[in-house]
Amino acid sequence: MELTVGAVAYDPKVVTIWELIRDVTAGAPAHIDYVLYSTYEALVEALLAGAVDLAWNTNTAFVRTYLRTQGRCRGLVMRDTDRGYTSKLIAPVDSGIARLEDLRGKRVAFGSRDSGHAAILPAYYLRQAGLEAGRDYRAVPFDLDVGKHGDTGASEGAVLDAVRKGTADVGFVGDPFWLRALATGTVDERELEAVWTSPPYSHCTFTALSTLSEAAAQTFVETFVHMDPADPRVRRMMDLEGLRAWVPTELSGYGDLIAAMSGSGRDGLG
Amino acid sequence: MMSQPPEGAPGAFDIVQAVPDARCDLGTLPPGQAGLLLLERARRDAGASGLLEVVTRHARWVAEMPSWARLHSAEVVAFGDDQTHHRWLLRVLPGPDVRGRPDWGVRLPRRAGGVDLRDWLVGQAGQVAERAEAWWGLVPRGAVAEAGGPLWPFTLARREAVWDGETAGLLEDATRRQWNATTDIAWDSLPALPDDLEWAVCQIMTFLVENELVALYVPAKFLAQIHPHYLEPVLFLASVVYDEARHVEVFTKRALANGGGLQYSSALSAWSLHSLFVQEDYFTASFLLHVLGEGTFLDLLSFVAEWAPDPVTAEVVRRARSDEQRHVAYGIAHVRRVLREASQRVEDLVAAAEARQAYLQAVSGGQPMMTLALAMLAGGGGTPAAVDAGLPTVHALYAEMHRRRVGRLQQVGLPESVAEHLSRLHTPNFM
Ligand SMILES: [Fe+2]
Ligand SMILES: [Fe+2]
Repeated sequence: MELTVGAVAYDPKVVTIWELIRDVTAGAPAHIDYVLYSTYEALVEALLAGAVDLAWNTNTAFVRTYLRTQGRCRGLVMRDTDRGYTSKLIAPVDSGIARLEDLRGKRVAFGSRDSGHAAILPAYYLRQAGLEAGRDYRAVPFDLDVGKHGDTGASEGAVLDAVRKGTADVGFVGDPFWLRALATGTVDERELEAVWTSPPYSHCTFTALSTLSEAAAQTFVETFVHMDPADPRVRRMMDLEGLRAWVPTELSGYGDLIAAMSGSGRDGLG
Repeated sequence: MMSQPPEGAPGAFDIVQAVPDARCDLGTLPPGQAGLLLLERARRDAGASGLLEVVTRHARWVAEMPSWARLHSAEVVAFGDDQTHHRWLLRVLPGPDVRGRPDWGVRLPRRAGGVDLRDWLVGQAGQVAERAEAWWGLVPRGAVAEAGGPLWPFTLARREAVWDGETAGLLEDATRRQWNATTDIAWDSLPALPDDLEWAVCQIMTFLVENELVALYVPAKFLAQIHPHYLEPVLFLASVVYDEARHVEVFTKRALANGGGLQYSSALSAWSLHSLFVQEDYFTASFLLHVLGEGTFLDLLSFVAEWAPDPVTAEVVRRARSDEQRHVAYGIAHVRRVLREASQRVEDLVAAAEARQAYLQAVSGGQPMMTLALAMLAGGGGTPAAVDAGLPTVHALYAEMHRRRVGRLQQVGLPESVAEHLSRLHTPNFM
C-alpha cells in the first residue's frame, strides 16, 4: 500500500529524513512517499484538500486540523518524545519566581506565536492562572520562522538569550530544547534555571482525516512502530528526527491545546 | 526513605526493594551538563531493561527528571524524597545505545618483558567472533557498540579467513626486532669496491627494491580489507608493510651509497610482480607472496649475504632476511591453518599457481642482468673467468631454492607430489 505523507521542510535535514523513510518502507506494508511544504498552514490545507493521505503535524497543526474538521480527524503515531512533552519557565537563578502568579508585572519571553510549546500553551496556562498579556505581564515575542510552529528552535534560543541578557525577566521553552541546552553546556546552570514545568501534553503526530480507511491507518501505524533502530538507515532517521521509537497517538494529550485554540480565532497568543 | 507507591501503581514498592543495576549519585549538582553526563553513563551501565537508581540533594532535579526520562527512553518506576534527598528508580528501556555491559575488572597477566600480546585474549576483548558484522566497524573488540552506525565495507570478515592464533607472537617478534636503516647499518665501513663488484651489488639491489615494493603493496591492500575485529592480523600486516618499507629504503640506500646507482629492471620482473599485485584473494595471495615468493627470497638473501663483497651489503641483506623469516612464518602458519580446516582449498592454490605460470609464459626474456650479477658476486669479479666460475654457484642456488621451496610447501601441508609440481611452476623471478 502506498501512502503519501505531507511534512514541513523546516530544515534541509527534512529531505534526508523523508528519503530515509521512503527507503526503509520500500518493502514494508505501507510504502511511504512524501511531499514537503514550506509551512504547516499549507500542509493542513493540503491534508484537508486530500492532496496527501497523512500529515506529519505539530500539535498546533493537529489541533488546527481537528478544529477545522470538527474532530473528524485523528492522530495515528508520534515519537516517544512527543508524549509527555512539557513547557519550562526559565528564569535567572535565585530570581524568587516560583509560580506563574509571580509573573505579574514581568517581561515574559515567548517563542514563535504559532509554537504550541513555546507560546500558545504557555499563554494558555498563564490565562488559566488569571494572567493576561498586556494587562498582567508584558509579552516579549520572538516570532522567528513563523509557519514552522517552533520546529527550528530558533525562537527558543532567542528566549534563553533574552533571559540571560536581561531583556526579558523570564521565558518559555520546550523541555527538549531546555535539556539539550543544559546537556551541551550552552546554558550555564548557575545562570538560568527552570522554575516551573507545565502539565504534560502531546506534541507532533501523524494526522489522518476520518476519510482514511481503517485498514490504511492500521498498516501505517504498524509500519512505523515496527521500524528497527538497529537498521542504520532507521537509526539515522530517528536521530535526525529526535526519537527512539514510534508510539501510538492518544487524543487525550491535546486537550489543553484544543482548549487554548478553540474559539480564540487566533494562534493563542493574547 | 521512599514514599509509598502512588495510587494505581501496585507493586512499585516491591520493585523499589530490588537491587538496581546501576546507581547515580548526583550529590548537590544542579541540573546541568555535569549531572546529565553522569546520568548518561549510569543509564548505559544499567543496560537494557535494567534498573537505574538516581539520588540527588538538589531539588531542581525534581522537575527535570521526568523530562530527562522521557527523552532518554526511561520510565520512572518510583520516586521518593525526604527533607534533603530525592531518589528515583528508573527502568531503562532497550535502545540502540544500551545494548550490553562492558567489562570491568579485567586485568592482563604480566610476564617478564612486559604486557604481551600473547596474553591479551581476556574478557570480552578476547572473544574472537566467527563472523564480524559490518556495523561493528572500528569498534574495539570487547567494547559495547551502539547500534545504528554505518556499515563498513570490510570484505575479510570471517575468522577462518584471517585469524590465526600464532599471529600475536609473531607481532611481538616484529616489534622487538625493528631496526633503523639509517643508524643501525655501519655505513661508514662501506669500502670502495672494484667497479664490477659494485655494479653487481647495485644490480642486485635494484632487483631487490622492485620486489620489496610488491611485498609492501600486497599486504597493504589486504590489510585494508580485514575487519578490525580481527585486530592481530591487521597489526601484523601493518608491521610487514613497515618492514618492507625499510627494506625498500635500505636497498635503495645501498645502491646509491657507494658511487654506483640503480641499474636495470627487467620486463620479467615487472610482469611477475604485476601478477602478484593483481591477486584478489587473500588466501592465495598469502600463499604466493609469503610462502612461495618470500620463502624463495630467504635463499636468495642468504646467497647475497654469503658472497657479499663488503660488510655493509652483507649486513643489509642479513637484517632484511631476518624480517623475511617472520613474514614466511606468518604465511606458512596462515596457509597451513586454512588447509587444515578446509583441505579442498589446495585446489585454489594449485589453480592460482598454474594461472600465474600461464600468465608469465607469455613474457619473453629472462633475468640476464640479475643472473650475471649473482655470478659475478660468487665468482668474485667481472672477468670472463670469474663470471664463468661463478655461474655453477648460481645454478646450485636455484637448485637449493627448489629443494627448500618443496620443503616449505610440505610444511603447509601439501603432499610431496603437489609440492614438487608447484615449486616447478614458480616464477624465475623468485618472487
Ligand atoms: Fe622484504
Ligand atoms: Fe617480506
